[in-house]
Formats: sequence, structure tokens, C-alpha cells
Amino acid sequence: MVYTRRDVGTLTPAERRRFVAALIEVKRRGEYDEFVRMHIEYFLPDGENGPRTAHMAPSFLPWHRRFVLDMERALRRVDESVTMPYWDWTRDRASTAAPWTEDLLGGTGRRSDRQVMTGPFAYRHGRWTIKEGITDVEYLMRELGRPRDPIALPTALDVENALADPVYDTAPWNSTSAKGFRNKLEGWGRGRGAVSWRNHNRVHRWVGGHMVSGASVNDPVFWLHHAFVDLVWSRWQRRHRNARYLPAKPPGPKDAQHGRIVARHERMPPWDVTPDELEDHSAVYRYV
Amino acid sequence: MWWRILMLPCKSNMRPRMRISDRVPEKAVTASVDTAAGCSSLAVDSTGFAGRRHMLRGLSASVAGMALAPFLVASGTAGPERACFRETYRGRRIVVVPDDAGLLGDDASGGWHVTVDGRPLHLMRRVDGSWMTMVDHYQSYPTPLAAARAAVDELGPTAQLGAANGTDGHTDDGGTPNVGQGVEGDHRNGVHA
Repeated sequence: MVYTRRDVGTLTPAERRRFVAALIEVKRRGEYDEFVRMHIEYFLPDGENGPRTAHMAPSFLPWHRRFVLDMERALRRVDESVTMPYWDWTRDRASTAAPWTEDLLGGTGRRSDRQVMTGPFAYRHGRWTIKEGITDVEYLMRELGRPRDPIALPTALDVENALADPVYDTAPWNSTSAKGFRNKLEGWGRGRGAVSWRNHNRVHRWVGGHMVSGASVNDPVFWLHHAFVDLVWSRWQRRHRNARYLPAKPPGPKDAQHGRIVARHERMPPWDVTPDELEDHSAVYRYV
Repeated sequence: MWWRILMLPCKSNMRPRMRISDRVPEKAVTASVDTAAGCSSLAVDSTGFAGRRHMLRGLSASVAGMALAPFLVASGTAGPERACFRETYRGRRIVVVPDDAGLLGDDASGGWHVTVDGRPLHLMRRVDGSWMTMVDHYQSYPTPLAAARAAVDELGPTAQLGAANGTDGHTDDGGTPNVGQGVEGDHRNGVHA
């Protein structure tokens, strides 16, 4: 039966409690940290040798679609009423609004060490100890809006600029692809500094703390963020009905991306699944 | 193995020169550039933090030091951009050592071995020639030193680099985590309930 994914701000108090409880139970079971490890393992920038699936590659979107789906399955094994909510950062832009409330993810970190002190994921509750980090820090860190050097969340116009591109992705199929919906949404822009962070990347930067590291999955907002990125992909598919995942075929042997990216009908590690098989989610969930 | 991740040194003419960013206040930084030969003690020091890979390979700090010395002498003609560099930035000790031969193991990437307070900081390259670290995953920087400073910025006043900052994050045995192999065990299908 098809279930719905909803805007996190519309969840009832009971739904919020159950979502948070499911996350904490998945963490207690040790499953959550498997997801953190996997995201760390699959980070490989495009200047290094080797195949890329999770970032700086066409399969950024299907990879994270499957990743979120796997976490959602883990949550639903705990409580089948739970689905993954999304955070529409083009609308919920305040650091005091959902999902940063006491009954959801808690707020920003304190100034001295960015430790999250509020909400159910605060370290003092003993239920959210960081075990798979890039540093030795055991508490969750955030720095919403980066007060030391403020940046803004992406806007609806920024998302629209990505949505308007009728082509899924373009050569060279990496972080320098100037055209194509995928990189405009993933957000590797030109130039240096703040102007080069767009959409998905900029949100990681705005949240700060763990969210800017390879261990970004440690912050549960990772899932709400990527559910929204997934929703934006769905919107793009609806707007461009005949557009498909690209490349349709693997780059040839003389192409620098040969063997390094996943074409439409190729297996996308670590799963035995292809981007083609992940394009249509309508049999499993829909966004409202 | 298709998914094996390889770290190979880049071509020397592709490496950007190291430079001190203009945006950093002078008071925050004390820096020195060493001759290549003068780096040997630093390099040994930086291997004092033995990562898992070093342990697995049986590569002790002293062995690394002995192997490194002739390399450093040999690289003395490589030019100033290949000199090692150390500075104190925001109270953290950053050491950047050239390591074309990868003698320092997986912590040496793109020909550089970088440590912060003696702990390896794994550098990775973007195709545009910029540099990234696992501490700062969604942005890249023009030089290894700039990437190291950004990592220090993100570390804040107290955090230290841990084992998973890239050294142990990547596996070279082609293994994948066990994610999603729960009740469904469903790795073969697309979007199915």
C-alpha cells in the first residue's frame, strides 16, 4: 500500500513523538550507525580515481533516494505508522520553526562548542551518542545559519532554477557539470566560497556542525533534507515528463568518466539496483 | 574489484602552489616553510598517530622515518611549492608534508600528507584541482593548506580528528556495509514496498 511522506511542519504532536521514538530505537539497535558508516564510505570526490555513486555523479539522486528509503524501512520496522517527513527549507526558514523544535530535532548548538542542548537528540539524554564521527566528539553539533559568518538557506527561486533545466545531467557528469538538473540541485557551483554553494550543498552548510562533514548522517535532519531533495526530483520528473535519468548508456572507453559513473541500466553500488529501477517511486510512497 | 578505491598521486604539474590565504588574520597564524630535507623529523612526528592502516601494514613510525629520509633528500629539487609547511592556526598545529611516493600510507593523498595536532587529515581532490576533507564535506578549497585551515575552523576549539576522517572511512577490500539487509533483505529491486 502506497504511503505518504509529509511536510514535517504538518505532523501532529503524536506523529512527532512516534517519528522521534523510531529514530532513537533504530539508533539503539545499532542500525543507524551503519547508515553513517555507509555515507562516509561512499564519499569520493571526482578528482580521485575510482567510481562515484553518491556524490558528484549522476546517481546522486537515485543513490540518496534508495538511502532514504532504506532508513524509512528501518523506521517502519520499529513503527509502521512512521514515514519519512521532509523539510521544505524554501518555506521553513527560521531556526526556531520546524524541524528545530523541542518535540522534533531540537535547536541549534550552543555557541562555545556547537553542542545541541535542546530536544530529544541532546547528548545529556544518553540516547544519541555519536559513534561514527570524523572527530572524537560524541555529541551532536549544529550551527544553524552559521552566526560567525552568516549564510542564508537556498530560496524557492534557487530550486526553480534547477527545476527549469529540462536535462537530467550533462557531461562531464561530475561536480563541474554546468548544465543539468542534477548538479544544479546537488549544488556544486562555480567560483569559491558562499556563491559556489547551491541548493543541497548550501543546506548542509547552513545547518553546520555534523551536517558539513562526511558524517552528516549523524544529524537526523539529514533524512528530512534528503527527503525534500527527493521530492524536488519528483517535481522535476512531473514537469519534464519525457526526460529520463542520464547518461542512458555508459561513457565509452576513451571517456574520462568511463567506469566511474553509473548509467541508467547499470548496477548502482552498494545495491543491486539501477537508476532506471529507482526513477518511479509511485508504487511505494508519494509526497503530499 | 569494481568498487575498489584507489589513491594514486596526481601529476606534479597539476598541483596548485601552496599559499597563505589573505582572509586569515596574521595574529592567528605562525608559519614556517622548511626545506624538504628539514621535514624528516616532522614526517616521523606525524606518523606517531598510528591509524588502523598503519597497524595493519605493520608500518611503525620508525620504519616510515627511515624510508622517508632518502625520499626527502631526493625531492629537494622539486621547487618551493613542494616544500613542507607547518603553522599554528587558531592554536592548532598544521603540518603539510609532500609525499609523492605515498610512503605515509593512506593518509597521504594527492602527494600531500597533512596532520592537525599530529593527527592525519585525509585530503581528497576535486576534478577542478581544489581540495576537500571529510571534516568539510560539502566545499572545496584551492590548496591543501586552505583545506586544512577550513578543517580547523570546523573542528572548533576542542574537537580532535578521529579515525574516520577518511583514513578508515574508505575500505579497500570492496566491502559494503550491511545497510538495508534487515527484514526485507531487498537489494535486488528498485522502489518497492
